[in-house]
Amino acid sequence: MRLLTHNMLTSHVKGVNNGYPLKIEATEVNVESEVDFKPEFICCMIPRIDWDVLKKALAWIGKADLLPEEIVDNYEEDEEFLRKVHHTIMEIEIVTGSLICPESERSFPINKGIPNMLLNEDEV
Amino acid sequence: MKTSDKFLFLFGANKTGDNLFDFAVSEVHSTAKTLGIKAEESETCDCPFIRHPLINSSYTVLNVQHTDHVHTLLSRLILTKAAIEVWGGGQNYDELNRSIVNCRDDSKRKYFDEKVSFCMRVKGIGRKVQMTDQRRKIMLLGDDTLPFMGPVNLSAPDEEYYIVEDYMGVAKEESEPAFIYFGRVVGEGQRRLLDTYSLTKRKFIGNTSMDPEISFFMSNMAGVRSSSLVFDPFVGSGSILVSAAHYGAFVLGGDINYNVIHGTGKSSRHNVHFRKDDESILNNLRQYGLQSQYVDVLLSDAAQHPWRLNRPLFDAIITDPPYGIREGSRKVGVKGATMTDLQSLGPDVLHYPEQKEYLLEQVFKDLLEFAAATLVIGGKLVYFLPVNRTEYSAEFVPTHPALKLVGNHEQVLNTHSSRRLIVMKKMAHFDRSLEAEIQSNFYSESNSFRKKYFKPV
Repeated sequence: MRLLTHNMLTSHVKGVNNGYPLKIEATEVNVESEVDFKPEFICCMIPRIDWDVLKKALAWIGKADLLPEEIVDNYEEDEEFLRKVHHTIMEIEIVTGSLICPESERSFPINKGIPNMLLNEDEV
Repeated sequence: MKTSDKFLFLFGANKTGDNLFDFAVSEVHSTAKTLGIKAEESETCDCPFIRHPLINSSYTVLNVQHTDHVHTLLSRLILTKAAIEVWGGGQNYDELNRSIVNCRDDSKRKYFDEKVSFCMRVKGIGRKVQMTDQRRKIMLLGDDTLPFMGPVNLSAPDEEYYIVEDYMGVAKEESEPAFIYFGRVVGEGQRRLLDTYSLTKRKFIGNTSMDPEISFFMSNMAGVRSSSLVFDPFVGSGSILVSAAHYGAFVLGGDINYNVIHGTGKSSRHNVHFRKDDESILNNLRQYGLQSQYVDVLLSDAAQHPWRLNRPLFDAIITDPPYGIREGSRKVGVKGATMTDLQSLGPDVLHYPEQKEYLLEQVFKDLLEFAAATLVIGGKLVYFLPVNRTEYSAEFVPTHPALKLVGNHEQVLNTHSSRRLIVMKKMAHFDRSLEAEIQSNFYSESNSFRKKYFKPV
């Protein structure tokens, strides 16, 4: 699971008021460098990302230093900045671990990079 | 009179008939809009060398400002075989000749140069033109009309020309076409991709993998462009995502079925029992060099989705929900009256949640509400809606206050059933109080579509 996806997922357990963000507990993290850098895509994604949650996610997997504190002004022209964002949202993969609901502490497992977001019958 | 901005788009399809005209014309218009290109129908009244194509015809004529724009369109179109720059038209060969001469301007001079090789072919619309007749018809264009000086080259010409004879609406006994066009081939559509992306060669398929021709069409109708973020909530083997990725989109998928998401379990291929280890949606993308476009897949239930709703996420949602024929529509929930005491199972027991039938009515309502909540403004929802042909009326199409219906194209499945490709555009910001509605009660019964689909003729 990539951090771009994590940024957009929330806990949907019945009765939970705020299930976002899901906490990451990772036992296996894979860092790639072969994902093609597409600056146009990164520029489109920046307004859709919750920056604080992205920073939290990086902190949870021990990579807090990869991203600056704030989004840079005029990021469309700052290739170095865009590459940093690209690396964090597209090249870091949680292979094994869990996503934990902040309210109910319900754990959603991640196996082979795929999160299982199915609720049980009594949670719907 | 100016012909320089008129182009004839010749359509083709692997499946015979079936509203090809409707689909193909929509594809051109939708793609033109996505790419910011103007492509409009000609007004036939001020243009004697254009015939207004009949429904079920396999071509259309559009005004496009520049051949470069036509090339850009062709780089996306899957239902267009070729685009021809119209040089003239008429109801018979005399008129055609006069029309070509009248419209022959300086811009065409370079094509008559002795160094430019060429060939000419005759294409019949609604009727096949035999090879022997082709030669005779080509001779009907005078040397004064088309003073080509270059050599004829049938296999690799510099320029290719078509005489297009439109026989639509002409009785079988009549030997003459209703209208004839002449023009220069500008380029071809993307139909060669149908072989490249054929499901027979695909690494990983499922029972309901989407045919590449339709997948590409859906992506074009959804306005996919490079840097779009596209989600398929009933992703299956990812066949729709493959086409979106081909056009440069970044792709995400969700499915409730563990085997399909993990690429395990029984194979859908003839004579193959189980899926191989490397069958997965990611590997399908990798097969075509598109692995960089893969974002993620999730095991998820479209009825209880895990996406946050406080800001727009997707540029397009393109999907083929299960209609209950080959794949049952399911969601998490208890089938019977009892519920397992899950608390007593303990945290280490792996529990696969029970699934119950997901009524079609709820499938579509949930899909529309999901799209209204998660699409960016201007983003599109594209999905197939199964219908019973005799009962169908506009009330079958689900509606939502934040979404505008911008496309509805029928694809016939059998005598009683068809599916309609629905295209909706998000117009307004999401308001949780807005709900989807379906006026017809066709979908409210269990297995409603399936029962009628299998009814004997």
